[in-house]
Amino acid sequence: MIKYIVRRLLAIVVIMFGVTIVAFVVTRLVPIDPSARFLGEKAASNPVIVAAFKARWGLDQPLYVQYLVYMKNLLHGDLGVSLTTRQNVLHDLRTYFPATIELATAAILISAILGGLTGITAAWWRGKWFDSAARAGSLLGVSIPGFWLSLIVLYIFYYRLGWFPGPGQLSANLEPPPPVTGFMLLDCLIAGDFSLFLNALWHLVLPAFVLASFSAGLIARTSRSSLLEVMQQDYVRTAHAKGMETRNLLFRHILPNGLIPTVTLLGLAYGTMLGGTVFVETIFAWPGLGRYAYQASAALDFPAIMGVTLLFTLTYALVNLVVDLMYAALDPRVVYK
Amino acid sequence: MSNRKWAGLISILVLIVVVVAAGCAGTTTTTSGASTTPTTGETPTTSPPPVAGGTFTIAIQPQYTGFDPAHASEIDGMMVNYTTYDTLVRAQNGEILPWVAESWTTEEGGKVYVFKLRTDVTFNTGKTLTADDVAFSFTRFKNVKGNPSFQLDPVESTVAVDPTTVKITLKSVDASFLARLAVPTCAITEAAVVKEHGGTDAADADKTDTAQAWLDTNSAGSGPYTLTEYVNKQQVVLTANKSYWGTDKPKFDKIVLKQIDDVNTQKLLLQKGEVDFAINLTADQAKELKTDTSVKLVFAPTLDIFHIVQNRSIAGPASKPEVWQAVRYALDYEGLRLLCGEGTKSPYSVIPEGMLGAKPVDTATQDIAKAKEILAQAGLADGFTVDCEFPALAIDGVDFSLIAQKMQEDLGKVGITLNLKPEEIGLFLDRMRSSKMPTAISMWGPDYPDPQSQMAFLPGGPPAINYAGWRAGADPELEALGVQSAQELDPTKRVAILEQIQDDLVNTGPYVVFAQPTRYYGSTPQVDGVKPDPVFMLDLNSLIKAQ
Repeated sequence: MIKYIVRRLLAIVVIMFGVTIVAFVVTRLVPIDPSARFLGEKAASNPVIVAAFKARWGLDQPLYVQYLVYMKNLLHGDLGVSLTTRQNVLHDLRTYFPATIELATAAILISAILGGLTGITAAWWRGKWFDSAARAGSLLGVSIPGFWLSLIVLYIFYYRLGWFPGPGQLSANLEPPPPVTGFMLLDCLIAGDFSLFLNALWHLVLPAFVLASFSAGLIARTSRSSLLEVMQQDYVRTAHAKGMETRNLLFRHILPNGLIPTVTLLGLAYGTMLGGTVFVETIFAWPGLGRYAYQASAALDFPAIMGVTLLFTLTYALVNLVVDLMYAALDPRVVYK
Repeated sequence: MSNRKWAGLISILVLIVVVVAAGCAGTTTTTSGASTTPTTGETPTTSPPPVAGGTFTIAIQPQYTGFDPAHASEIDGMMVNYTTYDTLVRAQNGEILPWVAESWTTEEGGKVYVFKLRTDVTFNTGKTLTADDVAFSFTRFKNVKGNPSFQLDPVESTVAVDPTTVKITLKSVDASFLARLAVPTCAITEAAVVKEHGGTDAADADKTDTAQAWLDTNSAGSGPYTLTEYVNKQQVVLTANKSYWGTDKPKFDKIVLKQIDDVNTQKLLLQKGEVDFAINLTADQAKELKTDTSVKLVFAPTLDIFHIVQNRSIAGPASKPEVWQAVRYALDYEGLRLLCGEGTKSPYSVIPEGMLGAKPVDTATQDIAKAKEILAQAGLADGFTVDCEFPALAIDGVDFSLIAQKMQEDLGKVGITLNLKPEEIGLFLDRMRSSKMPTAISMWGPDYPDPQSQMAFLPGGPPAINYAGWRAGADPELEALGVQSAQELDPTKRVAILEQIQDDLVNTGPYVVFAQPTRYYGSTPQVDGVKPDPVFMLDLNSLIKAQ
């Protein structure tokens, strides 16, 4: 197993190297001069200002030189400076990624619990009213666009009912805790401010719910059909016929076999959420990586684009590795050599 | 009814409720019959007495990415810098007023300015502002060759004659010079602090200056507030400068600009009272909020102009000068103003209302018959087709896509078919610089409150070359008038020249200016003293909040 993990990690390194080449080339292939984006019309018409801009950001060098310089810096842990924020890209990723991790983790927990329970119950009570309602609800979950749901949820639960707070990680009148880990909830606890922690937790609910809606719907549908398939298997019928208790039947035979595809889905969903979602982050003013990535790509902020791409690749690859390892834990037939 | 059918019916009912809720989203109920009348420009102070201290929160969809005056040229960045720095002079209602410079004289017919500085201006460190700081700031500003450095292009040199005297020599007489100095990009920074953080005014400052990173998140200024925090994508925090030298002391302990990119979210936060001010409301939201007593609206005039332009360097029917006369008559200006929102005007030409030399607005009218006649005389009675490029976004609440569709409809009536080509802003700007757009719809915001900023539309200026392919030498007489207007210091004579320039542009130019929009600001009812500015949006230090 250790050898397998090491092999996978080495493969990730190779993949990341390949990604740097692809991302670098693709971004440079876009036929737009970044100086047009960053300099005003008057400034962009001044060749002296344009030349100074390009020299400042190394854009006057040949492409292969730019790539080599980037790789040399990357090997020293330097991801360059963002054209947009003018901060070190690593600093930006450290600033925005924790907010995305918090949001994605809350969303995946909601997806897993809500989607999983719905799917399990719908499969168990197949054909009953709950099954029909669950299928309709899951269809709504996967169909409703995130940005629309964000606005509706905010309008109803924040503005009209006042049950939940507004956008942002904290209420507008509160000072955030000293940044220790970058995770708002953790930093609130470290600061010993429990009321601030509760405020942050309450702010997390609505955006996490919106982000979870799609994957919860998908998980509900997938887990239902997967469990139904398992429930049709001979060994389940035999165990049931032999008088096995329902609880034992469910937890020892049906769920471990039926939820394997759900684990895959959860992993993929989590990996995608960690990439950030622009719409949810924009509407809920969530300072996450999605907005940063979108603005970087729109502005042709090469260093930021490269940094975000590398981070996404690494995150996705690691999440997939964890999912594969979970297979081995769930299914004794799966052995990694 | 079976369980399945009940579940289906319940699901449909849930869907209907959600859709109705969505339809109701954005509507507000009024709690009383009183309606709020939006004000334009400044709001007078009213009793009860304002709150002193505390935090004033503003929801903003920012363009700024940093606050180094030598690099920041975004309008909202200038709003922050207006509050954290001071300039030699200030512009108010078209007048140039003394500020850090208490007086000035000119020499050599206006080619040299000698400014006498106040002796009581102090930076946020407590140090007195001197002529050395001015000289350093302006020289650094030019030499780092940042985005806004062209503002001081007319300047040959800035010299500190003595601690309270600054001598600025221009390359030639320039009537716009004082207006340029009034813009927050010409902020005076504390030289010692900037140098301490890697700043330099050396000739190679574009390669050797390293102060930008510090100045993007801190201020070395003398304004009523100090920039104490800037977290990109989150917030800007301005903290009161307790030792501010001016008479208009800071009202709040802090002003926080919270980044709220979605304008619907801004509106909700404002209506709930979670923010005191929202700065990016759209025309539709303003219309809706007029009857909402939980929000006070302010209509803020701008100097921005929206125009449609022909490219004269691309051969084809669309490049004929007379075709653009036909376009001028074909457009429905009233309809375009409605689309752009309440308070929008249609300027006569490139000089917007509120700027020296502006001619009366809303004088152009649609005349389809006249437009057709002009096209027929040009041999284009059957019309023609041309691409029209524009950025796929909204600026000042004006949605380019809607405007383009309206123009397509208007021009279609005279036989001109516009192929609409919306483009992502980066692509649009790149295409603009290549001068390859046959026609385009775009927007221009002045860099300083002086008509010289609008002379960029004359042949050889950036928009003239970029959009219209109108290079220097294309109209020597018009260009000569532009030079004259730059050097004419007598306002009356200058206005006459500017009016002639505008007449020439209307009669033979490649632009049709159709809109000068308004910005819409919203505040809670307790907020007063709102002083909008067309160049830097808003004077943050003028805001007060009643008990």
